[in-house]
Amino acid sequence: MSEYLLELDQVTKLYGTVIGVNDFSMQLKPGAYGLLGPNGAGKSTLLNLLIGQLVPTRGTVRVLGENPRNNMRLLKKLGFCPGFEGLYSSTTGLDWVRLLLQLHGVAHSPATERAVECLKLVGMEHAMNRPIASYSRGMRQRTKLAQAIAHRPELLVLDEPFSGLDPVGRAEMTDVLRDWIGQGHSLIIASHVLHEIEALTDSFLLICGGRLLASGTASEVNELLFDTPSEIEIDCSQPHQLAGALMQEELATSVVVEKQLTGGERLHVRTLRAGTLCSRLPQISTAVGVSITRMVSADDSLQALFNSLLKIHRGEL
Amino acid sequence: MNSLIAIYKFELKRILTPGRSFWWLIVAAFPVVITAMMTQYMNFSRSGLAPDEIGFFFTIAIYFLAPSIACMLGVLLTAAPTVATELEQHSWIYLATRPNGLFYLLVGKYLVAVTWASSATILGICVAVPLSRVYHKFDTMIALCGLSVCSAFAYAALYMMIGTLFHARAMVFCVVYTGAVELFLAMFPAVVNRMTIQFRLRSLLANWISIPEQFDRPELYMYIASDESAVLQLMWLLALTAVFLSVSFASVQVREFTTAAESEL
Repeated sequence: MSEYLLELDQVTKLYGTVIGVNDFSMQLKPGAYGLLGPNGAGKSTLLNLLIGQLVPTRGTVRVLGENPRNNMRLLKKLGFCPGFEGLYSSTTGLDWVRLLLQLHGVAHSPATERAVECLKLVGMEHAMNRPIASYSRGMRQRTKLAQAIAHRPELLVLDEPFSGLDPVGRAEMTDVLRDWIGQGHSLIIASHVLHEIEALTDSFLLICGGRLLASGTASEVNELLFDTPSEIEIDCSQPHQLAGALMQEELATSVVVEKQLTGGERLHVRTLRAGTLCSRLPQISTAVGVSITRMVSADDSLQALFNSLLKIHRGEL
Repeated sequence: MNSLIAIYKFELKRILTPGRSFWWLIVAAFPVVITAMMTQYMNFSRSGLAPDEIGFFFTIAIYFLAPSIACMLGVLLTAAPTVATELEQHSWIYLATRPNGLFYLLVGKYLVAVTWASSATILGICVAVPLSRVYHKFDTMIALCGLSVCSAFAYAALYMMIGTLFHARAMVFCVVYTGAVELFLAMFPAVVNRMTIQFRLRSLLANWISIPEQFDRPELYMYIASDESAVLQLMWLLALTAVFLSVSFASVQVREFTTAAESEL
């Protein structure tokens, strides 16, 4: 048995001429990992490669030491919760989870008991005998999670499991998954929302454009991003003085001062060394006698972060 | 086996909707209504045909209406969209990530299609034959019911194979194939018609019913049916069914059915 949970060696997946996953290599030991990337980054393709639904055009994929394609033995150890719904609307949640358990060879009675247990675990005991058509989006997500964990897999692969859940539902689902991880099981969770993953694990895989851009803990990723180009908005008492000081220190490549509707002024700074700027800003502002009331990243979207990582990956930065 | 029974029961429960039940009744009623109209409105008194010849005519008519058309239509409605419906509603992945899940899905749906279509056809035959002027009613009824079961098993396998290979346009391909091969080529007086299900069913019909003496000459029907034994015809049907099902199973194992491609691009 391999010591690695996942081993991907130069994996490329092409859909015709379009690249889904591009030269992806990684080795992960058992544990919980968050697969983070914007929409269309290749997360679902990667997950489908891991569960054996797709065959890599190039390279090799091994999950728990085995090739996942048409691997019956491995499928018993995998639990998968896809990003889309795909539940039969006329069926009850209990019937659905029980059927999927029975496909693992579990007899009717034990399958019923286990299905009820799992549906209770995800907070669906009150609705499990109702047709799925009457379920809300969040209830369907819970039912999907129940079917994924019902056969007690070693590795749980979840694609956007929090989608459609209300805050209470998210918190409950997070608790279920934390318990799952706490029991020593492995988890791969894909999302495009950072805080959803942060609540579960500190290990990230950041992908964009089908490439693995970075991996590691949040602090390791932050270190990587320390000196990446970014745009910063600063609300302060004397923006022109601060702009001049930043230019003099060669910490900004461009500065713009704009009037606010409220009457104040806001400084827009474009920098190639965001980390250095942030660490030196207190000293500079004290020196020029400027008081800063607000400072935010102007391009704090995840896509901007990924664009920076992509440039680092290409060697453009 | 437990998995197969589970999916068979599950699919059977799913198919028992008011809409599907209405179609089941339509399939069952089709041979009954046509036979009743033929009995009522066709005037055989002036045809000069003997009663056994009239009975033979009705037997052939019910064969075409029930095991041939109704049963074919029944399995077309149920077996052909097996893969397409699962892919369209994104339920495929749940079954594909179960050990042998796709095999059980196909076999379960196949057996449900056979049950659904053959039960409707058998009901139709059991009502149509007594209404008709078939000469040996009980024997003919048993023969036609047997043919319905054979027809359902063979056509369900055929349509499942087409539906698996061309899931995006399953119904269209099935209808085109049926028209071109099972209805046209099967009547073509050449060796090629021996590869069709229709030819084997007709040959079984020739074996299982009593043919009036004046028609019981193999040279009369040698191009549209075989005078070889019923066992041989059944072996042919079994072989065709096995081939069709094997292609279906191989297809779902080899091909990549996933929605990732669409959602990612």
